Amino acid sequence: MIITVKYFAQLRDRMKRDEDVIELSPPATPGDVLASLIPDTDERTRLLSCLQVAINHTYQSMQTPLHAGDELVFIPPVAGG
Amino acid sequence: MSHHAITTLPLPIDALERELDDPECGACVSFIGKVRNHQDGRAVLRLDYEAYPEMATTLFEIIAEEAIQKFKVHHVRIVHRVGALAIGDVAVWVGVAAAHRGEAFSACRYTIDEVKHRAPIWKKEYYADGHAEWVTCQHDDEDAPL
Repeated sequence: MIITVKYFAQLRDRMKRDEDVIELSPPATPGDVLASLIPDTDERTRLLSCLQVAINHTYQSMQTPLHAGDELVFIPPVAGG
Repeated sequence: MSHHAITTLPLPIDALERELDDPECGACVSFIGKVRNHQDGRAVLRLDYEAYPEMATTLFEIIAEEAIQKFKVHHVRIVHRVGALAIGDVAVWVGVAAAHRGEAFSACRYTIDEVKHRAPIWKKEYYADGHAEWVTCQHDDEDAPL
């Protein structure tokens, strides 16, 4: 299945791009996607402690199952308002 | 401008305040968030705000509806600016119209607090010492009860 992953703020700085279109074999979760994007365990552990997950504009979790056509965003710590 | 919005343009405060007017509402309360020139003792020169716009406006709708239901106010509107902002620029405007002032103040406070905690919006500060950082820690001292 194909999903889109979008990057914002410090995560876009880290990934050096705005988005990826990724092919996944189901079942797959945001946690699986993060593991494929950030292979370094220490860095991934740090990120897991501060990133939230959004799927199709709604907060979800790292364990939420993904579906074909989903838009996945790892949300760095927010600072609006 | 649609009801809740993310915009790159300077916020039209006068027009937003006028559009809050409703003959059924005796109380209008608005909050204006502006860029200040310091953070944690460091001099700030300017800011970049960035949003995940589709999700941010979705959350504005959700938060506004929560405030309306919770405080029984008539109207809640949220507009947030993104892009490069200078010291003194208005970053966010929250407007509430209600029958009476008690619920108007409460709903406005609730709305801006929820926007700060939940909206996918990020802020990069540029300091006088030459550094720039994405803000990772929202200050909760501003949330102290009145």
